[in-house]
Amino acid sequence: MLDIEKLKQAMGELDEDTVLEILNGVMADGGAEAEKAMEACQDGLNIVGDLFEKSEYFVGDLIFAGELMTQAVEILSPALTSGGGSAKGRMIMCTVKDDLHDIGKNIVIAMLQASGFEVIDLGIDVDPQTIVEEAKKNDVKIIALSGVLTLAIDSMKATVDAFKEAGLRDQTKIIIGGAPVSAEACEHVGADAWAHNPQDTIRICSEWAAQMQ
Amino acid sequence: MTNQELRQYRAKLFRDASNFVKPDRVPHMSFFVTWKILDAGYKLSEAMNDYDIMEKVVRRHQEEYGFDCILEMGARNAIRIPMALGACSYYINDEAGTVNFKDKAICEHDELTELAQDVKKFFWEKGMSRKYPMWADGTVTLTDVQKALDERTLFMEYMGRISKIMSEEYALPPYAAPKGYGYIALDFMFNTIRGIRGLSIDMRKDTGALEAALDAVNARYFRPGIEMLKKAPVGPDLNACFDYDLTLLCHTILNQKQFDKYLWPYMKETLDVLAEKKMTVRLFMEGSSKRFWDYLKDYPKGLIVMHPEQDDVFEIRKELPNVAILGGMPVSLLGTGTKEQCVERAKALCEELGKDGGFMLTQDKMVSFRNDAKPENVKAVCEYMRSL
Repeated sequence: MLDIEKLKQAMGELDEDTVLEILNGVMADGGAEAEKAMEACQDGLNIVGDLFEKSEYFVGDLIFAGELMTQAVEILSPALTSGGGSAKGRMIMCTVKDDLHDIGKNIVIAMLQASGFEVIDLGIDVDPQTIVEEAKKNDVKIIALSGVLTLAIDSMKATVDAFKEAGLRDQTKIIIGGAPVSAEACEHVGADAWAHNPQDTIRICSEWAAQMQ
Repeated sequence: MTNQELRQYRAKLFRDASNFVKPDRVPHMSFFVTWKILDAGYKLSEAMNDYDIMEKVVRRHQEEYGFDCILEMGARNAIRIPMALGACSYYINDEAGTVNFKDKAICEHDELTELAQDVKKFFWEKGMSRKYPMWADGTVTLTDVQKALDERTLFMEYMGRISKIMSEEYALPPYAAPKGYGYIALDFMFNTIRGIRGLSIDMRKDTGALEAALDAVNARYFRPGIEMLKKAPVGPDLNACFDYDLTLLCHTILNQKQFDKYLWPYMKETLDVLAEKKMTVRLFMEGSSKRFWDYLKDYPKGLIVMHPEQDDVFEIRKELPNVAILGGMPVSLLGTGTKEQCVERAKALCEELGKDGGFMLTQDKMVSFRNDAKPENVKAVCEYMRSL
C-alpha cells in the first residue's frame, strides 16, 4: 500500500533512497498506484519549491530535485495512463536566441510541470520567429523566456517584438527569467513580468492561467 | 609624470581606496572582456586566435577610453591550448558576437573515490579522454601534444608581453600581484571537474566521496599555493592594485549547510592567511554575494575588496563597512542608458561611497557582448572619472 505522505515528504527532503524504494515498490505491486505516486512526487516537488523560496534550498537542490523527478518518471511511466498534470493548461518555455544555458530553464520547467502546467520545451538558442510559430501552432498564450547571458535581454526584446509584429502580443503573456533580468530589463524588453526563481514564475504563470480560464 | 610615476600613482589610487584612505580620485577599472574585441571591429574568433590582433584590441581599449587598470587583457586566447588537442570550452558565434561556456564533467559521480585516490593519475587516464576526443579515440600523437605545449608557450609569452606593454607604454598597474590568483577547491570541482549538474548531485548523494575528492584536489592544486602564501613576506605588493584575486562561482548553487561544509572552510583559510600577511584580496562574486556578508563582517579594513555582480553596492556598504567595494556601474545602464544617466550613476557612487575611500568604480558584470555597453557611454564615464 502506497504511503502517499511518506513519498511526498521524502521527495520534499530529497531523500533519494526512500523515494526510489517507494516507487519501485509501487511498480513491483503492479503499478496500479502509479498515478497517485506521481501526484505525491509532484506535491513533494512543490515542497522543494517552498523550501527554495525560504532560502533553505538553493539551485543545486533544485537540480537534484529535477534529477530525482526524472528518475521517478522513468520508473513510473510504464504504468502511467496520462502524460502528467496539465490542469493549468499549456505554456511554452525556452532559452532565448544566442544563449545556450539550459539548467535554469530545466529546473523551472520541472517545477511548472509539478504545479500543473503542460510545458512545451523549445530548448535553447531559440529564435523569436520559432517561438511565435510554436505559440500559434499550439495555441499557447503563456510564454516563459529564460537567459543567463546579458545578451539574452536583447533576444528577449526581439521575441516580444516578434509577438507584436505577429499581432499576438495583446493575447499573450510573457515572463522573462534568469540572472540578467530585473524590473528595468523587464520594462526595456516589454515583457509582462520577470522572475529570478521558479516559485515566482509558477505564481505569476498560475495567476495568468487562472485569468485565461 | 613619467609613465613609472603614473603607474605608481594609479596603483596607489586602488591601494588607498582599498584601505579606506581618501584617494586622490576614485580609481576606475575596466572589466571589459570580449566586448572590447567587437568594439575594435574584429570578430571574436579573429582576436581570440591571434595574439597580434588581441594586442591591438587591448591597446585600442586603453587609448580609446583610458582606465586606471584593465583587468582582462586577452586571457581567453588560452582557448588555443586545448584547441591544439581538438577541444574547446567555448562556443564562439561570430555572426551573433557571442561566446558561451560549455558545462562539461570530466569525472562521473561514481568515479569520485578514484579521483580522490590519485588526482593526477585520474586526469591523465580518464580526464584527458573526456576532454579531448583525440585522446579518447587514441589518435592523439606526440606532435599534437607538442603543438599544445607550444601554444601554451605562445600564450604565456603573449600574457607577459601585453602586461609589459600596458605597464610600460600605458602606465597601467597589474590588477593582482604576480602569483596572486587563487581558486577555491570546490569552484575547481564545479567549473572544471564535475560541472553544475554533477556537483549538485555529489553534494546530495554519497557525500563522503565528494569530501575525499575535494581534499585530494585541494592538496594537489591549492594547498601548495596557501603554503607559499604563508611563507611570503608580510605586507602588500604596492606595484599592483591588489595582492590576490579570488573568483567565486559555485556559491550560487549551494544551500547553507553545503556552503558551511564545502566552501567556507577552504575560503576562510585563504582569507585568514591574507589577513595575517596584511594583504588585500579582490573577491569577485558571481550572482548574489549576500550569503558571504555575515562571514566577512569581522575581517579588518584593507583586507577585502568585494566585486559583487548582482547586489546593491549601497546596501553592501551599510552591511559591511569594513569591506571596500569595486563595482557599481551596471552593464544594463551602460547598454541601454544615456551618457548623462551613466555619468550621473558614476557621480552618485563616487560621492556616496567613495568620499572617504573604500570605493573603486568598475562594471558589475564582465562586459562581453556588443549591446552590453554603448561606446559613447563608456567614454563619458571614463572622462568623468578622470576629471575628478
